[in-house]
Amino acid sequence: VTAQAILPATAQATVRAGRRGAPLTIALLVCQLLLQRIAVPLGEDQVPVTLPVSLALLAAGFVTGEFRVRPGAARGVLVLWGTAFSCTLVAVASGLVPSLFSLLLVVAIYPVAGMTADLSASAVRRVENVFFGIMVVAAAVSLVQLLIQVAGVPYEDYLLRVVPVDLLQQGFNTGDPIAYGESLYRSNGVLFLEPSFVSAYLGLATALALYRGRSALLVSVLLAGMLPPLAGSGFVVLLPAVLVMAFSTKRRRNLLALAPALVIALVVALTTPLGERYVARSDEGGGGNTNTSTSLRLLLPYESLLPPSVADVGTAFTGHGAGSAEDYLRENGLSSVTAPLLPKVAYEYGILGVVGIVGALVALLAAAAVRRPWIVGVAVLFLYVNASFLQNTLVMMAFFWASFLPYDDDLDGLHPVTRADDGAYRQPPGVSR
Amino acid sequence: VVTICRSTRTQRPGVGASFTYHRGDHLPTTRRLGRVSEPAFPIRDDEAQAEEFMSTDQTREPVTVSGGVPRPAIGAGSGRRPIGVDDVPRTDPSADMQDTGRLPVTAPDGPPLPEPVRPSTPAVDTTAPPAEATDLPADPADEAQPGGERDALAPGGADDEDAPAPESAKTRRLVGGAPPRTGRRRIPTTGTRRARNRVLFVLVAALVGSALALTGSLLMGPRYTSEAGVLWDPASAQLVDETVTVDPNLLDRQVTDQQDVIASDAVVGAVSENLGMDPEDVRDAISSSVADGSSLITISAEAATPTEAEEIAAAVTTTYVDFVRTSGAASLTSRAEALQTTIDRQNTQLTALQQQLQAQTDQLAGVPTTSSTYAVLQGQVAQLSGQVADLTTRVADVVDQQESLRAAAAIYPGTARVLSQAEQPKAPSTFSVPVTVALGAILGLAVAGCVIGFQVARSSSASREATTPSTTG
Repeated sequence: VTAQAILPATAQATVRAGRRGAPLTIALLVCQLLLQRIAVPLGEDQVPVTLPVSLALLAAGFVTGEFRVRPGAARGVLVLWGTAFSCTLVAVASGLVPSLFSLLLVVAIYPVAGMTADLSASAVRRVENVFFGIMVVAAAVSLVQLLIQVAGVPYEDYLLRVVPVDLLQQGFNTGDPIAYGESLYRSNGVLFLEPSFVSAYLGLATALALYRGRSALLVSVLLAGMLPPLAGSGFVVLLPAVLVMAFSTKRRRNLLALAPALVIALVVALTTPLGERYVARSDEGGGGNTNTSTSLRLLLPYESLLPPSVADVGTAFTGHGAGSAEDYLRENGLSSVTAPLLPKVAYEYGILGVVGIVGALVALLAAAAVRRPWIVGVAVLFLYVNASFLQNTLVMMAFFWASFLPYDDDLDGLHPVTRADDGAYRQPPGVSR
Repeated sequence: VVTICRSTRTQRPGVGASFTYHRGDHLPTTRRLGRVSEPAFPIRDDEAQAEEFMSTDQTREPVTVSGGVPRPAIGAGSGRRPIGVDDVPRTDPSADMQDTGRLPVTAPDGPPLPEPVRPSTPAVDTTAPPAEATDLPADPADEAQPGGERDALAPGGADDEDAPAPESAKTRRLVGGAPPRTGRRRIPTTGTRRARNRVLFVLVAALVGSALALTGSLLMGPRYTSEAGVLWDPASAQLVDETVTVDPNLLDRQVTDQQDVIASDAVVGAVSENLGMDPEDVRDAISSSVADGSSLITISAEAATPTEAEEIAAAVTTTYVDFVRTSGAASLTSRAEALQTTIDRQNTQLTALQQQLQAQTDQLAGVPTTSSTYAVLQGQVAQLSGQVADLTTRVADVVDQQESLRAAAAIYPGTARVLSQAEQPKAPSTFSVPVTVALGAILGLAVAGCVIGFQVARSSSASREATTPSTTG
């Protein structure tokens, strides 16, 4: 009994090594990929169906032992929650009316950041294979969406054929022309919220495939699927991972798999209007045009929300209350401006929120990125580019791959520790940590 | 005195602590009496023993068990007088132990161990300063000291967090408090006291939260918000002969620009003048918003009373709509007035032409009709007559246009129309006092829960470090 108490790592490692399946982990992954556009009305708001389903899956996994709490990460999440609660308490005491729905979302969305899946190496590989499979299909759908438009079939949201519009998430540019007045629409893979979402997921899949040394064919398909969405998110995710791998002697050879994909990209760019559009988009941040996607995401939110965050001493430290950033933007005629993590938290939770919430999220992602180079871009996307703080799909995307799924070295450590004749506990020969 | 021990299958020291339990104390105090020492020989089942001793009946003789080594109950260095034979009813120690079936402890391969006896001199390190019971950890990691139990338990150093959770329920029971056994009173342990402290902390946090919210609510007072709906209709601009926007992006921009108009000096200044308020107070009180993809502008006013909120909202709405209407009408009027210049100029030209025509006509009257000059003059008169007629028509058109503009200005409805008038709010827009108090209590509870959860997670992390086996031996 005492030996079990002092050697639980060995015992549990054995259990993990014996767990070859990962049903709930796969269910969680499939749910976040395929159900992200579905939502149920709740009063004036909508609740993405992935949120309750994810919570139920996390609870089920916790009960069955497939998932467990990571104490260190849980502390980060608790700091995040505690900061949000404290700032909201001050806001309530100050006579402000914070959005309790927004606060509930903070509580409901982030448990995944404090948990991890207790999986064996083979189970993790199985989860990754499922991910690759889904993303290959998404890439194919993305390409088909573009090709049939080039062939003359007008764009259509095919999900509307089977799902009532009331059950689809509103407020997302699910399909929009590649430019105003153009007949070609950007691909969203039908099931993804926006073209940028499918692009980001394909970028992540490509980065992971490169890191794992998967075939050039897989990498090419994934990268080709990134082109029709005409979104920079995928490249924001992919390029940092490629850079990190380029400096890694162990993974540098894997980048050769990019060569066929680059050729395909070149052909697509030259034979379709996408190449020209990509060039135009890459330059749209300059010129002082404030109505571009780049400006609305990367410049205006910071210019619009950060100054008023610290303008009033009374609200500078604890903010204007949960959910107030969108109200502020709407009241100031900036409805089209997004609210990325930093300006949103700074306005809603003040300086304390920036320290407690943004600090916790940065710490969680930075700690994960140290050993998972393929998620560096995801962290950048989450922390800087996207309005991700209360976006369940983006939170799941970031933390599922950053920390929820075990890391390689953890998998190496799954081999049962054996006891040597001298009484010491060692890993078997050939297993390095 | 209860000594908790923990053993491993090696000769590393376990985690141990001694408690003194004073009968009659409402909240028994515990003090750590000794340090952990390396066991001299193996034992059989120390956890079972420890659980037994954790539930020792208080009426019985204080006993001491330590990792197979009889360990005395001593008070030296504790600052308290130890429980002695004079303090509790005496029974035979060996009989007590035999009753519980715990002793004699037997080594796996050796003879029965000697029964624990109370030595005359302490066998533990009493030089170490005693630690208060509140410092006694529920987890080994709380005891972490250089060279102490943590080092002994985790010579391999810290493990990463993705390693499996090490702490078993039995381990926690062992160091945190065993469940009471049937028919016996449970000795309050650090775990139970910690639970009490946490409950107390949560309750205090809830009270503080509700008190804070209540205080803020009473100081700030209720706030009321009145709203009015205004539709911005660009079609009305056609009356002003302006091009109607068809670009949706430009249309959205035009609608959102109206929010700046609402907060402009012209509107706010007029409202403040009407209501006798400071313009900045008006500007702080009002807000406006436009729903995505909509031309409906919602004008809101927040004030301390429902009447004031309604007055401000109504005044701003009326002033804004009037401003938009009068602005458009003024534009029409100014365009009508601009036409007057043209009319005047054309009238001047017309007068000059008419005078010239009259002169030519007079001259023509004096010329014989058979004269060659007559034909020339007649041609000039005819040309002048045509010019006069043409100019007269043009002047008439411009005058008509001017009159149309003036008429349009008189009936111009403006591009903004009130869809819903501001009404007196029936309930405050801020939380009511009971809701505020309840919310404060809930948020206080939540904050306390986070603090406690943080402590538990930290203990768990430290425990993991302390119990992770060495992979190097």
